[in-house]
Amino acid sequence: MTSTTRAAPRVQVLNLPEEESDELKITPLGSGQEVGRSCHFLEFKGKKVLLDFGIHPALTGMSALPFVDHIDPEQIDLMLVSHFHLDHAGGLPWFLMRTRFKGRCFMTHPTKAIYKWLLSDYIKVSNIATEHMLYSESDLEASLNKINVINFHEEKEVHGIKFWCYHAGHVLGAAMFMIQIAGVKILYTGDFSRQEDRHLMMAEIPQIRPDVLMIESTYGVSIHEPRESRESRFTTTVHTIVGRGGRCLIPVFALGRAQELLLILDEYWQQHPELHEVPIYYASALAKKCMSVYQTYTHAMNERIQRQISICNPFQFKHISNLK
Amino acid sequence: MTSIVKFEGIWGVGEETPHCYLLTVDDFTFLLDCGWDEKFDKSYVDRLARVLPRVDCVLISYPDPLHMGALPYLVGRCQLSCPIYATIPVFKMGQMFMYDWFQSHHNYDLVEHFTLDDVDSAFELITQIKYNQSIPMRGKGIGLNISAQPAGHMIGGSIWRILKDGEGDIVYAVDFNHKKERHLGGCELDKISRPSLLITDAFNASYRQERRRHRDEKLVAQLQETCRNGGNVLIATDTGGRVLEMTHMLEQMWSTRESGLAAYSLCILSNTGYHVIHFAKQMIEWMSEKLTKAFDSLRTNPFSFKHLKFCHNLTDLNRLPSPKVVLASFPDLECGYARELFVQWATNPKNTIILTSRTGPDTLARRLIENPHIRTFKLLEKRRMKLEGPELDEHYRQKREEEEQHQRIKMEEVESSSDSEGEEGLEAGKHDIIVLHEKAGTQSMFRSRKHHPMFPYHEDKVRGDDYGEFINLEDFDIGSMKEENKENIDIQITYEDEDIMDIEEVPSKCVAQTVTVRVAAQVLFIDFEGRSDGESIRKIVEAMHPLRVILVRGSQTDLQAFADNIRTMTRAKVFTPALGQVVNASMESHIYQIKLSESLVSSLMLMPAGRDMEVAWVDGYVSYPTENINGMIEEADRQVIASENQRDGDMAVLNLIHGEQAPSHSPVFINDIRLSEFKQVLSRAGISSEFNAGILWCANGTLALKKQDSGSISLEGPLSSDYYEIRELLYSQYAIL
Repeated sequence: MTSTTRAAPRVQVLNLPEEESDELKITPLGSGQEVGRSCHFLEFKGKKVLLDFGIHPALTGMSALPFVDHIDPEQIDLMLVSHFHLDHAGGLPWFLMRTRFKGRCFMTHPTKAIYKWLLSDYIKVSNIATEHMLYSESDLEASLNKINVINFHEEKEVHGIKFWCYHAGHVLGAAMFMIQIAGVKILYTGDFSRQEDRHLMMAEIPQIRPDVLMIESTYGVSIHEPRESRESRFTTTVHTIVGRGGRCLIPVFALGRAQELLLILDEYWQQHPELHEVPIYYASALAKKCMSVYQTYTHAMNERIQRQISICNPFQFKHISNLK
Repeated sequence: MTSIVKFEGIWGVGEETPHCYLLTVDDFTFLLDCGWDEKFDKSYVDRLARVLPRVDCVLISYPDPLHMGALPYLVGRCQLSCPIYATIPVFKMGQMFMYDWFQSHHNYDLVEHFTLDDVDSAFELITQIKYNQSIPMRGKGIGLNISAQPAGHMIGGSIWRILKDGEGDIVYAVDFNHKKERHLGGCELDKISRPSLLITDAFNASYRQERRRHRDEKLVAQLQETCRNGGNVLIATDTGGRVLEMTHMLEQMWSTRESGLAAYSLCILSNTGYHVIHFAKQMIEWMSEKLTKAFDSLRTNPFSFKHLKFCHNLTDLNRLPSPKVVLASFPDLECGYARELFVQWATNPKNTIILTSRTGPDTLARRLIENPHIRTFKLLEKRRMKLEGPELDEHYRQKREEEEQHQRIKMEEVESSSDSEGEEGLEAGKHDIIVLHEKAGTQSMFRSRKHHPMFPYHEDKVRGDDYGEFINLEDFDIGSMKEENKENIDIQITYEDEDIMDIEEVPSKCVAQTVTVRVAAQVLFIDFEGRSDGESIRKIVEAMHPLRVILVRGSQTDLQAFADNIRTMTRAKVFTPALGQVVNASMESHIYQIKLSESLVSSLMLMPAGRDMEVAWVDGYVSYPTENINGMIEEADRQVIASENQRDGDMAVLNLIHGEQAPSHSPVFINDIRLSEFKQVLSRAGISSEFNAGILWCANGTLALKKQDSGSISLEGPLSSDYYEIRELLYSQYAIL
């Protein structure tokens, strides 16, 4: 066998149009071997999908963005955003408004509703010069029109890419996307939680087997403390602090897990009348603004909440008030 | 679609009766909607109960009685237990509709068809789904997928799409609305093209609508005029469907200053009004794009109303200052507060009664719409009255007797069972007679035991631990007691069931009397049905280009005209079935079901092919039980070519041709293998192989395997033991017949 005949098929492969290639390429543009700025670029059969577009929380300006210079935004067919956290959706207005991206962008209803308020808060609190800002309030406003919504389990098709999403737990509206291109199924989990908590259901396990699984691994090797003991540790700590006359400050991200903490505290106060004297405040205008979203998109929550909601809304707290 | 598709109308075919159809795809039977009319037609449910055992799956399109009214009856009385599918809003609102429907009748009539428990158990069977979510069927229906598509009309309203493994689809679309409305987006029928079968209704086929702006202006003008003259307006609407559109629109009218309506009271009067709006607030994602966008950017829920008040009975309503505009259920004026208010208000010339939809034939609302000049008519007025005087005594006497009976049974049980069981028995007796019935078995067993006559005596057992009686901490917990009370009150307000219990406690009877109602008030029909008009329906059907169409629900003239219309537009085959007629809507006209005879099946030599299939070659002939040979079989898997003169009815039987009579055939290779996969097979057998330029070289390059353009694989090389071994391996990859 001569070397020329050997080379022949290889040349053929190179000349093959990308539509016919069997190669599935996944390029992490952020959050590859790091935490933050999630962004993954998926190519298969000439279809190009971008998964999430976060920013790095520790960096500012352009350096916080994922490494977008590796891709041509104009060629991307579809963009999917798993949930509203900054490290998954923080760069989205920049990408939608300041690049030549002309594909379609999808997220779930609750994600879209909170996305706007979360990012507008982010613009306000980041104190860097306006020229270094990635995007302005008006960019954010305009980006809303470019975002399409998808319901959980609803199947959509864009340019021959079929996709649908599953509940992921974690935060309200968090989704895991199943993407099907030419019969090959890829599951992108984003952040997910398999533990049912007070208001969210646990991440679903799809009935359909994906061929490729892209899974977040932040806590991949650590074992979580069981929910009950963790919660009781939290509530007893709070109880001892206020019991000895102290004040308790809980620094927490305004949206997502904070709502769960509020539910835990409200329930704990309910069970301990001796604590009724002690006020609980949440000091976040953002959380207050988004409370109506939590009161509306209850179908994305677990059965417990849905049962409660027909009697009274659990997000109308009895012992917690907003600090003005 | 190479399936046998049969369609039968249980109701709703050939006339304007509620929707209820049976669709059979091969062996799997769908029940498409199960509506019930305003008068609870008994012959219909009997008809339905007969076919019920065949039903494998129920699909519900809309939450109103027209589409799901018989569901509680079917589950409660006919033990329907198959899966039922509906979207989340159809589920929630359907529950509201059924509660309201029951309560509306219960308020002045005996409802014998279903109870609230039946409603609850019916809804427990429903699987809640989302739009465009494809759901695979199980069991007999393997290979079938269903999905709901937005249909407009009512929140969560669905067009059902039944797909059979990439073989074309069946679309069931009734009462859809293509127009975008205030709270709903339009239907998405335009996304479906060339369905193999379309089932749709002809209700609006010849109907022309007013323009939306005209219609709304007319409504505002009427409201203003009546209110300014000091009259009240009754708008007859439904519980949880079209009422959302009405409330949203009226709230907008009340908020604009120019309308000048803000001074008058606006309220919704139905048994479930508060909950309907409460649930609507949580279904923003099912509403129009405009509303979701507004919510995303403003965070104000479109269904948190400032002007609209909730009334749950007539006393609430009387507290509101007049003039008032009242939305009351039901639109047919056959039951509910709408009817009560109609009787009260129709006599006053200042008042206006607005009807919003054309309900079933012969309902009060329909009569008023069709004869707008009718001034007086007779009405059967039913009322629930408290018992008084001798009747009350009689009632109490009966009740006492019942109780005594109750006691006796209880006593017998207590006496007859041993101590520990006695306690349990008493517990059971406390509940109601049904529980006792279940105990009948044990009771008769114990009755044989001899016992001595004595006064009934039961010892209350006090259980305790080392410190005495058990203490329930909650009894002493002041804080939580308060809470509990609060919750109780809440429940009483929210759940109708509680109210009913209260009503039940007051002894009452139902009376009916015929009264003559003089209609002095203005009666207007303003169309808020939210269905597509005739012209648009025709355009939509034309654009879809279905291959087969079944037309249901509509007057005979509409059905015929619409059918002719579709035939000329699309050259589709159109069926307009009559009641009891079974339509065969299979796509391929020469498919027949045949029965494989026992002897045949046992003599088959099945070869595995693919993952979970087996195939066999059969030479046989088709015969009817009475007749002789009719056609020849060409190939195995039930693809039968037969002459056309076969009759329907008796199923044909496939018989084997024995021995030499069977024609010979060249071998058939079934499978599609890839050389790369075969390479793995070879390596497992210990034969090394290598790819080069699309050719698989085996056994040190002596044998060449090549895939031909036709798909077959050729094997070249000198005859050797390797050659035979590889050929054997290659053959093992195929099912050879």
